[in-house]
Amino acid sequence: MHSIPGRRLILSLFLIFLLLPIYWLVNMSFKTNYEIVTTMTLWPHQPTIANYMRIFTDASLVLRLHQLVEICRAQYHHLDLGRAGRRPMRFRVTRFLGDKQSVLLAVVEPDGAGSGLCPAVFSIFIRRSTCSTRHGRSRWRTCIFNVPLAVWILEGFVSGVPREIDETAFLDGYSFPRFFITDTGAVDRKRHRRRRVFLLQVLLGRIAAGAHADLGGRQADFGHHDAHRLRVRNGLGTLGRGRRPDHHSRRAGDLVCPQLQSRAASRSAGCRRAPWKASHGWPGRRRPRFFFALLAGTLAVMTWLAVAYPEAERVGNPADSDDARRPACSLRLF
Amino acid sequence: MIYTEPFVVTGGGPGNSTTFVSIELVKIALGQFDLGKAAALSLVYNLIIIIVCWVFYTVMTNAGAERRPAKGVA
Repeated sequence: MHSIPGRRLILSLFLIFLLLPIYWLVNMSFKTNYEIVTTMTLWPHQPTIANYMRIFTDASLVLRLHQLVEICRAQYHHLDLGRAGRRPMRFRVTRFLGDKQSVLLAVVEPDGAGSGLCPAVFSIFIRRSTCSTRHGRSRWRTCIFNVPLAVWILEGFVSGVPREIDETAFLDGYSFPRFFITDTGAVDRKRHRRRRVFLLQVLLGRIAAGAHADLGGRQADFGHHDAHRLRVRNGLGTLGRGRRPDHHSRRAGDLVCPQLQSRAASRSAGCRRAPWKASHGWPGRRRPRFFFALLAGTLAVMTWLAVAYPEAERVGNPADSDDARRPACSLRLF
Repeated sequence: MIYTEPFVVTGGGPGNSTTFVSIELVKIALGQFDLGKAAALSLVYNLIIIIVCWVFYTVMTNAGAERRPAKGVA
């Protein structure tokens, strides 16, 4: 590389080439529209910050806070899953598209066929360990974080409905707690059945994925480090090509399932019993108890909420048409 | 970046409820042909993303470093 003549010149030109669009953007942001479309100058002759003033005085940009949160969420998933995906599941966990697509389907067409497909999409993602991470607790965080966020995004979506319709909905008894409860209630009602079932399945799917990912992650971890540790413990040391079983087991885990990987590693380490049971305690006694307790608690709370706010409380004439009595959150878009 | 899904599915509607900043940028630049405002908004958007990425990266890198076991520990 050092022998290439004019290396610095080439690199400088390449750097300028890369930075030119950004410079042009900065340049344009300090120009007026008239100057942009009439003359082509390398720097603004009459620099102005009017464009920035217009941005920061625009109320609609401030109201789009939920978009920035969505960006944060996407970044969180990307970084967290990317960091956690150093194991065989790396190429699966980084493709975390099912979440966005499912939420959008549920938002856009809550009573349509698309939203009926969402549980299937989620089950596919969960079954293929797409939602898996190395640590189960990050799944728990996602489980607790994502469902309220999805409801919040729905709420932001609903806020775009014209005010007159919104007021009518409030007269009909719409409120944010009711919206949350109606959309996540566990008790089936005919009107919102599919959406509630979907959101409930998302919640339960998240919990299940958390437990599954925890197991898978631990097994995956075992394949890399604990096999070597067990070989040392069993007196095998690092005889022969110590890392080969790890490699094969990793491939097996990648192709088939993490459990096979762990079994292969266990066999290569000369251990009869699945060692993750002994070393990590999962699947043991403590975590399933916690898992089922949380599951039962979630179901109990959701059922209680659904019962505590029955449909009959809604103010409105029973003789009204069904569409008029629908809350604003369930407006059909298509 | 969230652009494709809301653009294809809702086109930014109803109203502006699914108009994300990326869609708004395209609307301002190509729809209204307000290039100055679009350039300024894209820079601000870029700055926000960089800050958020930096914060996430820093936090998660530090969290990973804390959890990493010390060398030589069996």
